[in-house]
Amino acid sequence: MRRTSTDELIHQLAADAAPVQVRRHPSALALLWLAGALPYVAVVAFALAPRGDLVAMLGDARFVLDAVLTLGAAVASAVAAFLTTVPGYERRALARWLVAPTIWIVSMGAGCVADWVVAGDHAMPISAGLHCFPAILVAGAIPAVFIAILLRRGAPLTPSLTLGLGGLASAALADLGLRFHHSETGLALLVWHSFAVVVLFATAGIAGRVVLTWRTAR
Amino acid sequence: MVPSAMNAHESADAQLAALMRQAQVGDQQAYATLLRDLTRRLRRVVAHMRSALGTDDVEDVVQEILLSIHQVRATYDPTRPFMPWVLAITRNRMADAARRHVRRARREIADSELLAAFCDTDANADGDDTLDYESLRRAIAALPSGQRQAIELLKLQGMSLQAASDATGQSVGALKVATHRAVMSLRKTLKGTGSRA
Repeated sequence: MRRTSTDELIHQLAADAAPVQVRRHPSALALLWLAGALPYVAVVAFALAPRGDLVAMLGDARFVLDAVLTLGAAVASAVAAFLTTVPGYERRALARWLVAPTIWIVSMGAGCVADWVVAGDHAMPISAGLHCFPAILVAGAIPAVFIAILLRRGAPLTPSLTLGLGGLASAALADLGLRFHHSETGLALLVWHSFAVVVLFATAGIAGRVVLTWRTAR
Repeated sequence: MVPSAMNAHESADAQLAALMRQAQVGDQQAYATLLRDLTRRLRRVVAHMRSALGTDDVEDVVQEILLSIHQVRATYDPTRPFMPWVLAITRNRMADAARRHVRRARREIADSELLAAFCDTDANADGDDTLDYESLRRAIAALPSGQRQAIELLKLQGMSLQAASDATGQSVGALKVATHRAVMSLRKTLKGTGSRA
Protein backbone atom coordinates (compact mmCIF):
# COMPACT_ATOMS: atom_id res chain seq x y z
CA MET A 1 0.00 0.00 0.00
CA ARG A 2 1.47 3.35 -1.05
CA ARG A 3 2.05 5.72 1.82
CA THR A 4 1.05 9.34 1.49
CA SER A 5 4.12 11.54 1.45
CA THR A 6 4.15 14.55 3.73
CA ASP A 7 4.20 16.89 0.74
CA GLU A 8 1.08 15.21 -0.64
CA LEU A 9 -0.56 15.48 2.78
CA ILE A 10 0.23 19.20 2.99
CA HIS A 11 -1.25 19.66 -0.48
CA GLN A 12 -4.44 17.82 0.57
CA LEU A 13 -4.77 19.77 3.82
CA ALA A 14 -4.23 23.12 2.11
CA ALA A 15 -6.86 22.24 -0.50
CA ASP A 16 -9.21 21.35 2.35
CA ALA A 17 -8.55 24.61 4.21
CA ALA A 18 -11.97 26.22 4.25
CA PRO A 19 -12.36 29.30 6.45
CA VAL A 20 -13.02 28.40 10.07
CA GLN A 21 -14.81 30.31 12.79
CA VAL A 22 -12.38 30.83 15.62
CA ARG A 23 -13.71 28.98 18.63
CA ARG A 24 -15.30 31.13 21.30
CA HIS A 25 -13.67 31.64 24.69
CA PRO A 26 -14.36 28.78 27.15
CA SER A 27 -16.50 31.10 29.32
CA ALA A 28 -18.68 31.98 26.34
CA LEU A 29 -19.02 28.30 25.41
CA ALA A 30 -20.03 27.47 28.97
CA LEU A 31 -22.76 30.10 28.89
CA LEU A 32 -23.91 28.76 25.52
CA TRP A 33 -24.15 25.31 27.06
CA LEU A 34 -26.04 26.70 30.06
CA ALA A 35 -28.50 28.52 27.80
CA GLY A 36 -29.37 25.21 26.17
CA ALA A 37 -29.21 22.91 29.19
CA LEU A 38 -30.93 24.99 31.89
CA PRO A 39 -34.36 25.10 30.19
CA TYR A 40 -34.29 21.31 29.86
CA VAL A 41 -33.47 20.86 33.56
CA ALA A 42 -36.23 23.33 34.45
CA VAL A 43 -38.70 21.30 32.38
CA VAL A 44 -37.67 18.09 34.15
CA ALA A 45 -38.03 19.71 37.57
CA PHE A 46 -41.44 21.09 36.59
CA ALA A 47 -42.54 17.70 35.23
CA LEU A 48 -41.58 16.11 38.54
CA ALA A 49 -43.69 18.79 40.23
CA PRO A 50 -42.13 21.76 42.00
CA ARG A 51 -41.89 21.59 45.76
CA GLY A 52 -44.92 22.92 47.60
CA ASP A 53 -42.92 25.41 49.71
CA LEU A 54 -40.95 26.84 46.78
CA VAL A 55 -42.01 30.44 47.27
CA ALA A 56 -41.12 30.30 50.95
CA MET A 57 -37.76 28.66 50.20
CA LEU A 58 -36.83 31.40 47.77
CA GLY A 59 -36.80 33.68 50.79
CA ASP A 60 -34.53 31.29 52.72
CA ALA A 61 -30.97 32.54 52.55
CA ARG A 62 -29.48 29.08 53.06
CA PHE A 63 -31.52 27.61 50.20
CA VAL A 64 -30.62 30.47 47.86
CA LEU A 65 -26.95 30.25 48.79
CA ASP A 66 -26.88 26.49 48.13
CA ALA A 67 -28.59 27.03 44.78
CA VAL A 68 -26.12 29.74 43.77
CA LEU A 69 -23.18 27.56 44.81
CA THR A 70 -24.54 24.65 42.79
CA LEU A 71 -25.13 26.81 39.73
CA GLY A 72 -21.64 28.25 40.12
CA ALA A 73 -20.17 24.76 40.30
CA ALA A 74 -22.01 23.77 37.12
CA VAL A 75 -20.78 26.79 35.17
CA ALA A 76 -17.22 26.57 36.51
CA SER A 77 -17.00 22.85 35.66
CA ALA A 78 -18.21 23.62 32.15
CA VAL A 79 -15.63 26.39 31.71
CA ALA A 80 -12.91 24.05 32.97
CA ALA A 81 -14.05 21.36 30.52
CA PHE A 82 -13.89 23.76 27.56
CA LEU A 83 -10.55 25.11 28.74
CA THR A 84 -8.99 21.64 28.55
CA THR A 85 -9.78 21.52 24.81
CA VAL A 86 -7.64 24.58 24.02
CA PRO A 87 -4.04 23.56 23.21
CA GLY A 88 -1.61 25.49 25.39
CA TYR A 89 -4.19 26.38 28.06
CA GLU A 90 -2.72 27.52 31.37
CA ARG A 91 -2.98 24.99 34.16
CA ARG A 92 -3.31 27.76 36.73
CA ALA A 93 -6.42 28.99 34.96
CA LEU A 94 -7.83 25.46 35.09
CA ALA A 95 -7.08 25.22 38.81
CA ARG A 96 -8.95 28.50 39.44
CA TRP A 97 -12.04 27.22 37.65
CA LEU A 98 -11.99 24.01 39.72
CA VAL A 99 -12.33 25.88 43.03
CA ALA A 100 -16.13 26.28 42.87
CA PRO A 101 -16.84 22.62 41.94
CA THR A 102 -14.49 21.48 44.69
CA ILE A 103 -16.28 23.61 47.29
CA TRP A 104 -19.62 22.27 46.08
CA ILE A 105 -18.51 18.62 46.30
CA VAL A 106 -16.98 19.15 49.73
CA SER A 107 -20.13 20.89 50.95
CA MET A 108 -22.25 17.95 49.76
CA GLY A 109 -20.05 15.57 51.67
CA ALA A 110 -20.06 17.81 54.73
CA GLY A 111 -23.85 18.01 54.50
CA CYS A 112 -24.09 14.22 54.50
CA VAL A 113 -21.89 13.97 57.60
CA ALA A 114 -23.69 16.79 59.42
CA ASP A 115 -27.12 15.29 58.74
CA TRP A 116 -25.92 11.89 59.85
CA VAL A 117 -24.58 13.31 63.09
CA VAL A 118 -27.72 15.33 63.80
CA ALA A 119 -30.30 12.73 62.82
CA GLY A 120 -28.49 9.71 64.24
CA ASP A 121 -30.93 6.85 64.83
CA HIS A 122 -33.85 8.98 63.66
CA ALA A 123 -32.43 9.43 60.19
CA MET A 124 -34.53 8.46 57.19
CA PRO A 125 -33.33 5.10 55.81
CA ILE A 126 -30.93 5.55 52.90
CA SER A 127 -33.27 3.60 50.61
CA ALA A 128 -35.92 6.29 51.07
CA GLY A 129 -33.93 8.58 48.79
CA LEU A 130 -33.46 6.02 46.01
CA HIS A 131 -35.88 7.82 43.69
CA CYS A 132 -33.41 10.73 43.46
CA PHE A 133 -30.82 8.64 41.68
CA PRO A 134 -32.64 8.06 38.37
CA ALA A 135 -34.13 11.56 38.55
CA ILE A 136 -30.67 13.15 38.58
CA LEU A 137 -29.49 10.86 35.78
CA VAL A 138 -32.48 11.81 33.63
CA ALA A 139 -32.05 15.51 34.40
CA GLY A 140 -28.31 15.33 33.71
CA ALA A 141 -28.30 13.13 30.60
CA ILE A 142 -29.31 15.69 27.98
CA PRO A 143 -26.99 18.43 29.33
CA ALA A 144 -24.19 15.83 29.27
CA VAL A 145 -24.88 14.94 25.65
CA PHE A 146 -25.09 18.63 24.70
CA ILE A 147 -21.78 19.48 26.35
CA ALA A 148 -20.14 16.46 24.71
CA ILE A 149 -21.26 17.73 21.29
CA LEU A 150 -19.73 21.15 22.03
CA LEU A 151 -16.53 19.64 23.44
CA ARG A 152 -15.96 17.51 20.33
CA ARG A 153 -15.14 20.67 18.39
CA GLY A 154 -12.14 21.30 20.61
CA ALA A 155 -8.82 19.46 20.87
CA PRO A 156 -9.06 16.05 22.58
CA LEU A 157 -5.90 16.58 24.63
CA THR A 158 -7.22 14.92 27.82
CA PRO A 159 -10.45 13.18 26.78
CA SER A 160 -11.28 11.57 30.13
CA LEU A 161 -10.71 14.73 32.16
CA THR A 162 -12.52 16.87 29.61
CA LEU A 163 -15.67 14.82 29.39
CA GLY A 164 -15.51 14.01 33.11
CA LEU A 165 -15.69 17.75 33.85
CA GLY A 166 -18.56 17.99 31.37
CA GLY A 167 -20.33 15.22 33.28
CA LEU A 168 -19.70 17.05 36.55
CA ALA A 169 -21.19 20.24 35.14
CA SER A 170 -24.27 18.32 34.00
CA ALA A 171 -24.61 16.59 37.37
CA ALA A 172 -24.43 19.91 39.21
CA LEU A 173 -27.08 21.40 36.95
CA ALA A 174 -29.33 18.37 37.49
CA ASP A 175 -28.82 18.64 41.24
CA LEU A 176 -29.84 22.30 41.06
CA GLY A 177 -33.01 21.42 39.20
CA LEU A 178 -34.01 18.77 41.69
CA ARG A 179 -33.61 21.18 44.58
CA PHE A 180 -36.71 22.89 43.21
CA HIS A 181 -38.54 19.57 43.31
CA HIS A 182 -37.68 17.97 46.66
CA SER A 183 -39.40 19.43 49.69
CA GLU A 184 -37.81 16.93 52.02
CA THR A 185 -34.15 17.04 52.88
CA GLY A 186 -31.81 14.83 54.77
CA LEU A 187 -29.07 12.30 54.61
CA ALA A 188 -30.92 9.87 52.34
CA LEU A 189 -31.38 12.43 49.58
CA LEU A 190 -27.87 13.79 49.93
CA VAL A 191 -26.38 10.31 49.64
CA TRP A 192 -28.26 9.50 46.45
CA HIS A 193 -27.64 12.94 44.96
CA SER A 194 -23.93 12.55 45.68
CA PHE A 195 -23.88 9.03 44.26
CA ALA A 196 -25.59 10.17 41.06
CA VAL A 197 -23.03 12.97 40.69
CA VAL A 198 -20.20 10.46 41.04
CA VAL A 199 -21.80 8.10 38.51
CA LEU A 200 -22.32 10.87 35.94
CA PHE A 201 -18.75 12.14 36.42
CA ALA A 202 -17.18 8.66 36.17
CA THR A 203 -19.30 7.52 33.22
CA ALA A 204 -18.53 10.67 31.28
CA GLY A 205 -14.83 10.30 32.07
CA ILE A 206 -14.78 6.75 30.76
CA ALA A 207 -16.78 7.70 27.67
CA GLY A 208 -14.32 10.52 26.97
CA ARG A 209 -11.80 8.15 25.40
CA VAL A 210 -14.40 7.02 22.87
CA VAL A 211 -16.25 10.28 22.26
CA LEU A 212 -13.30 12.70 22.12
CA THR A 213 -10.63 11.44 19.74
CA TRP A 214 -8.16 12.76 17.21
CA ARG A 215 -9.26 12.06 13.67
CA THR A 216 -6.70 10.20 11.60
CA ALA A 217 -8.57 9.42 8.37
CA ARG A 218 -7.14 11.26 5.37
CA MET B 1 7.62 46.62 18.93
CA VAL B 2 10.46 47.27 16.51
CA PRO B 3 11.37 44.03 14.70
CA SER B 4 15.04 44.42 15.54
CA ALA B 5 14.14 44.34 19.22
CA MET B 6 12.40 40.99 18.92
CA ASN B 7 14.45 37.90 19.54
CA ALA B 8 14.43 35.18 16.88
CA HIS B 9 11.85 33.13 18.77
CA GLU B 10 9.33 35.93 19.01
CA SER B 11 9.93 36.84 15.38
CA ALA B 12 9.30 33.28 14.24
CA ASP B 13 6.19 33.07 16.42
CA ALA B 14 4.84 36.29 14.96
CA GLN B 15 5.42 35.10 11.39
CA LEU B 16 3.78 31.74 12.01
CA ALA B 17 0.89 33.37 13.86
CA ALA B 18 0.30 35.68 10.90
CA LEU B 19 0.24 32.72 8.51
CA MET B 20 -2.18 30.88 10.79
CA ARG B 21 -4.53 33.88 10.92
CA GLN B 22 -4.55 33.95 7.14
CA ALA B 23 -5.16 30.21 7.03
CA GLN B 24 -8.12 30.55 9.40
CA VAL B 25 -9.84 32.88 6.93
CA GLY B 26 -9.27 30.37 4.10
CA ASP B 27 -5.95 31.46 2.52
CA GLN B 28 -4.76 28.10 1.14
CA GLN B 29 -1.37 29.37 0.03
CA ALA B 30 -0.59 30.79 3.47
CA TYR B 31 -1.74 27.54 5.04
CA ALA B 32 0.52 25.45 2.78
CA THR B 33 3.46 27.74 3.62
CA LEU B 34 2.69 27.41 7.31
CA LEU B 35 2.46 23.61 7.16
CA ARG B 36 5.73 23.31 5.24
CA ASP B 37 7.52 25.50 7.77
CA LEU B 38 6.01 23.54 10.65
CA THR B 39 7.01 20.24 9.02
CA ARG B 40 10.69 21.23 9.05
CA ARG B 41 10.50 22.22 12.70
CA LEU B 42 8.43 19.19 13.72
CA ARG B 43 10.85 16.74 12.08
CA ARG B 44 13.67 18.16 14.19
CA VAL B 45 11.59 18.11 17.37
CA VAL B 46 10.27 14.59 16.91
CA ALA B 47 13.59 13.15 15.82
CA HIS B 48 15.35 14.81 18.73
CA MET B 49 12.90 13.74 21.37
CA ARG B 50 12.26 10.24 20.05
CA SER B 51 15.69 9.11 18.91
CA ALA B 52 14.56 5.47 19.01
CA LEU B 53 12.20 6.03 16.09
CA GLY B 54 13.26 5.19 12.57
CA THR B 55 12.95 7.76 9.77
CA ASP B 56 9.58 6.38 8.67
CA ASP B 57 8.23 6.45 12.21
CA VAL B 58 9.33 10.07 12.65
CA GLU B 59 7.54 10.98 9.43
CA ASP B 60 4.39 9.14 10.57
CA VAL B 61 4.35 11.14 13.80
CA VAL B 62 4.93 14.41 11.94
CA GLN B 63 2.00 13.64 9.64
CA GLU B 64 -0.22 12.84 12.62
CA ILE B 65 0.68 16.19 14.16
CA LEU B 66 -0.14 18.02 10.93
CA LEU B 67 -3.51 16.23 10.74
CA SER B 68 -4.25 17.18 14.34
CA ILE B 69 -3.32 20.82 13.71
CA HIS B 70 -5.68 20.77 10.74
CA GLN B 71 -8.48 19.22 12.81
CA VAL B 72 -8.37 21.82 15.59
CA ARG B 73 -7.14 24.93 13.76
CA ALA B 74 -10.29 26.75 14.91
CA THR B 75 -9.06 26.50 18.51
CA TYR B 76 -6.09 28.81 17.87
CA ASP B 77 -6.81 32.25 19.34
CA PRO B 78 -5.21 34.79 16.98
CA THR B 79 -4.54 37.15 19.89
CA ARG B 80 -2.26 34.64 21.61
CA PRO B 81 1.22 33.27 20.80
CA PHE B 82 1.28 30.51 18.22
CA MET B 83 4.13 28.25 19.34
CA PRO B 84 2.63 27.22 22.71
CA TRP B 85 -0.49 26.14 20.82
CA VAL B 86 1.49 24.05 18.32
CA LEU B 87 3.77 22.57 20.98
CA ALA B 88 0.81 21.48 23.11
CA ILE B 89 -0.58 19.52 20.16
CA THR B 90 2.88 18.16 19.35
CA ARG B 91 3.48 16.91 22.89
CA ASN B 92 0.08 15.27 23.01
CA ARG B 93 0.50 13.43 19.70
CA MET B 94 4.06 12.37 20.52
CA ALA B 95 2.85 10.91 23.81
CA ASP B 96 0.21 8.94 21.90
CA ALA B 97 2.84 7.75 19.42
CA ALA B 98 5.16 6.71 22.23
CA ARG B 99 2.41 4.65 23.86
CA ARG B 100 1.64 2.91 20.56
CA HIS B 101 5.36 2.30 19.96
CA VAL B 102 5.74 0.60 23.35
CA ARG B 103 2.66 -1.59 22.80
CA ARG B 104 3.85 -2.58 19.34
CA ALA B 105 7.39 -3.34 20.54
CA ARG B 106 6.06 -5.62 23.27
CA ARG B 107 3.93 -7.54 20.75
CA GLU B 108 6.79 -7.80 18.27
CA ILE B 109 9.22 -9.17 20.84
CA ALA B 110 6.75 -11.85 21.83
CA ASP B 111 6.00 -12.74 18.22
CA SER B 112 9.67 -12.82 17.21
CA GLU B 113 10.43 -15.26 19.99
CA LEU B 114 7.46 -17.34 18.98
CA LEU B 115 8.52 -17.58 15.36
CA ALA B 116 12.10 -18.31 16.38
CA ALA B 117 10.75 -21.25 18.35
CA PHE B 118 8.79 -22.35 15.26
CA CYS B 119 11.88 -22.42 13.13
CA ASP B 120 14.63 -23.44 15.57
CA THR B 121 15.47 -27.09 14.85
CA ASP B 122 17.50 -27.48 18.06
CA ALA B 123 14.57 -26.41 20.16
CA ASN B 124 12.50 -29.08 18.48
CA ALA B 125 14.91 -31.94 19.09
CA ASP B 126 12.90 -33.03 22.14
CA GLY B 127 11.08 -36.25 21.31
CA ASP B 128 7.88 -35.00 22.88
CA ASP B 129 7.63 -32.20 20.40
CA THR B 130 5.20 -32.66 17.62
CA LEU B 131 6.29 -29.70 15.48
CA ASP B 132 5.40 -30.64 11.96
CA TYR B 133 7.62 -28.72 9.56
CA GLU B 134 5.39 -29.65 6.67
CA SER B 135 2.43 -28.06 8.47
CA LEU B 136 4.48 -24.91 9.05
CA ARG B 137 5.53 -24.79 5.40
CA ARG B 138 1.92 -25.22 4.27
CA ALA B 139 0.71 -22.62 6.76
CA ILE B 140 3.25 -20.06 5.51
CA ALA B 141 2.35 -20.87 1.89
CA ALA B 142 -1.33 -20.29 2.73
CA LEU B 143 -0.73 -16.78 4.06
CA PRO B 144 -1.81 -13.78 1.97
CA SER B 145 1.04 -12.72 -0.29
CA GLY B 146 1.98 -9.61 1.68
CA GLN B 147 2.20 -11.50 4.97
CA ARG B 148 4.04 -14.42 3.39
CA GLN B 149 6.59 -12.08 1.86
CA ALA B 150 7.13 -10.31 5.20
CA ILE B 151 7.71 -13.62 7.02
CA GLU B 152 10.04 -14.96 4.36
CA LEU B 153 12.20 -11.84 4.16
CA LEU B 154 12.31 -10.83 7.81
CA LYS B 155 12.14 -14.09 9.70
CA LEU B 156 13.35 -16.78 7.37
CA GLN B 157 15.96 -14.86 5.41
CA GLY B 158 16.80 -12.61 8.38
CA MET B 159 16.70 -9.30 6.47
CA SER B 160 16.54 -6.03 8.39
CA LEU B 161 13.33 -3.99 8.19
CA GLN B 162 15.01 -1.32 6.10
CA ALA B 163 16.48 -3.83 3.66
CA ALA B 164 13.13 -5.57 3.29
CA SER B 165 11.44 -2.19 2.79
CA ASP B 166 13.93 -1.30 0.04
CA ALA B 167 13.45 -4.68 -1.60
CA THR B 168 9.65 -4.67 -1.58
CA GLY B 169 8.78 -0.98 -1.74
CA GLN B 170 6.60 -1.35 1.34
CA SER B 171 7.07 0.95 4.31
CA VAL B 172 8.71 -0.29 7.49
CA GLY B 173 5.42 0.24 9.31
CA ALA B 174 3.50 -1.84 6.76
CA LEU B 175 6.08 -4.65 7.04
CA LYS B 176 5.78 -4.68 10.81
CA VAL B 177 2.00 -4.91 10.60
CA ALA B 178 2.20 -7.68 7.99
CA THR B 179 4.65 -9.65 10.13
CA HIS B 180 2.49 -9.35 13.21
CA ARG B 181 -0.61 -10.49 11.33
CA ALA B 182 1.28 -13.35 9.75
CA VAL B 183 2.48 -14.66 13.09
CA MET B 184 -1.04 -14.42 14.54
CA SER B 185 -2.40 -16.36 11.55
CA LEU B 186 0.30 -19.00 11.82
CA ARG B 187 -0.32 -19.44 15.50
CA LYS B 188 -4.04 -19.93 14.87
CA THR B 189 -3.50 -22.31 11.95
CA LEU B 190 -0.91 -24.48 13.68
CA LYS B 191 -2.90 -24.64 16.89
CA GLY B 192 -5.83 -25.93 14.84
CA THR B 193 -3.76 -28.68 13.21
CA GLY B 194 -2.39 -29.87 16.55
CA SER B 195 1.18 -28.89 15.78
CA ARG B 196 3.14 -27.36 18.62
CA ALA B 197 2.72 -23.63 18.71
